[in-house]
Amino acid sequence: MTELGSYLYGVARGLDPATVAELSGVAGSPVRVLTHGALSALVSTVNLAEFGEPGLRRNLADLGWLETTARAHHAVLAAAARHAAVVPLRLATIYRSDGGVRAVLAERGATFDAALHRVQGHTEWGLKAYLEPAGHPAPTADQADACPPGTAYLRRRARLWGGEELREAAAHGVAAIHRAVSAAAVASRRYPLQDGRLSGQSREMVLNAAYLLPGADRALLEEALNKALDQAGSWPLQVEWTGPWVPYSFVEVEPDP
Amino acid sequence: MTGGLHGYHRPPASQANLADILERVLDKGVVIAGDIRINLFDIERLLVASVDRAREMGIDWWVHDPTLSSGQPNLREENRRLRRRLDELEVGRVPEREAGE
Repeated sequence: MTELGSYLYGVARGLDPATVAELSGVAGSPVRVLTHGALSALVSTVNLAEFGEPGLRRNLADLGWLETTARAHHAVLAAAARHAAVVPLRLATIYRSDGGVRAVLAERGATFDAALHRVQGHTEWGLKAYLEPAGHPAPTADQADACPPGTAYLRRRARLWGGEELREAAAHGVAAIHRAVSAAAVASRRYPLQDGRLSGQSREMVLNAAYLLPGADRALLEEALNKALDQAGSWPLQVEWTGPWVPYSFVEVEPDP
Repeated sequence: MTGGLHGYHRPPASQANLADILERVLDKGVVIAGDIRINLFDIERLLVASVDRAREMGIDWWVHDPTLSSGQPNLREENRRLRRRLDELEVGRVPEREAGE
């Protein structure tokens, strides 16, 4: 006998079920919407042979399964977030039936309301900085000329720095960048640095941060970043944005009193 | 010129890599205990273990670089984890719904 469960991706407010009707979620399952008052739970029916405790324990240890499932989880939330405010749940939140999901909507309604209120109309943006590799090619005369006054000199100097100095300069840059972008954001948080073997990056990461922004245009954050970069110009950093993200990093819920 | 070096031009947001997604869907988002009990620590440990097996990776992915952050963010992180753990334990006190099969 096949035992089935209900996989809960997240909770939305004001979501038209038609907007997610075409989506396929984890394990290729269609996405359904369960409503309770103004709250909509995004769910898929899953096989508990795959998503029950023993199966899940086994599968989570398989990086390929984990990647496919994580990407599917994320894709459902991202699609729903284009149409409504969404609070994401952690990967692999699973109930034995739709009844379990409805019970959570009823019991934790106030929690979801508060989290939805906090993130409604906001987007999350990721900012990553990498150490510019030591001994990178010197800028050509043209490139040096294109830099603001002083920058060319500083870049030439940076090229002569040893690893320790490069790192120290990068750490200063990272602190300044994070401070400036945080000031332009509603909220910010730093993530552990990513290992290149998971991120596929050969460059060494020195900043991994997320920022919460009203609206969906990151121009405000970018302006703050560019201002910080312009002020010094000599940090041996390469920066990269990701996003917009569903606000995963800013839906922390306090435990019930 | 690669990587938007000094921000003098506007690079597009890049494609999210696996690490970007995993750190969000595994460690962030609302944590509410489902009927299937896999706790947060287990998942993190499993992730590290799986990566260990697959790519001989150390556990440093989960650790803040001490040269780039003061002790404070680590403390906050630790507090957050403890609060979550407490939350899970509290939810766990509610009698589990029976499977009914």
